Amino acid sequence: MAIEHEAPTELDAAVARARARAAATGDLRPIITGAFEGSVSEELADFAQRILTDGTYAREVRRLGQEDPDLATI
Amino acid sequence: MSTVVDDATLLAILTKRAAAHLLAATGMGEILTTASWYYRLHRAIHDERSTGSLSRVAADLASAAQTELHELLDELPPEIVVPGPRLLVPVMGALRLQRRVNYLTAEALATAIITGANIRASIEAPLLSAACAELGIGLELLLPTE
Repeated sequence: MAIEHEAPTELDAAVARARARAAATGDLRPIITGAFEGSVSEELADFAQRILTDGTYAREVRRLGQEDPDLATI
Repeated sequence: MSTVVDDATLLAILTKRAAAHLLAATGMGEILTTASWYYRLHRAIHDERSTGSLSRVAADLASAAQTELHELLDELPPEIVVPGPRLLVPVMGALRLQRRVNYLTAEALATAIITGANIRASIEAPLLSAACAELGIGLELLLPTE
């Protein structure tokens, strides 16, 4: 029985080349791994929590996207 | 499995307000972001021309906290991977999607395809969703702190 194989697409080939390159160069490996430590002040953590949950950051993202379409969430 | 996170989720990770599993994944080197999302976060916080509420809230931070925030953004933790254009652009250029996407979205898609990662975003994005479905990329739409 004949088995049909789909020809690799241009995207498949580009991905294969990128993966080979990354394997050779380590471009996709983190510089270090381990416990993600380091402390953040309570004031800064609260600031981040607030802007991420009350819509402030989302509004800023919309504003930036209108100013620069390449940064827009679409 | 690795995850490509958007700018809001990146901020939650940097300030340790992300969910515990995301912080653990960061330690294991399983969190990636893109240069566009990193830049958008940096610009949102630093943009002196911004007249939006974010700049007002940030200006209310004590000086030490402002410095801490700027240092966090200037030096991403080495556990977080940000692939460069030399790797991504050939894949971005080979995307043949039903609807054209912008640079930010193409960069996220290429990062996910190459690494086999999911994408985690916090803002609904119809073109990103459609492209992920077309390419078989997992997309999670969650609040950054979830």
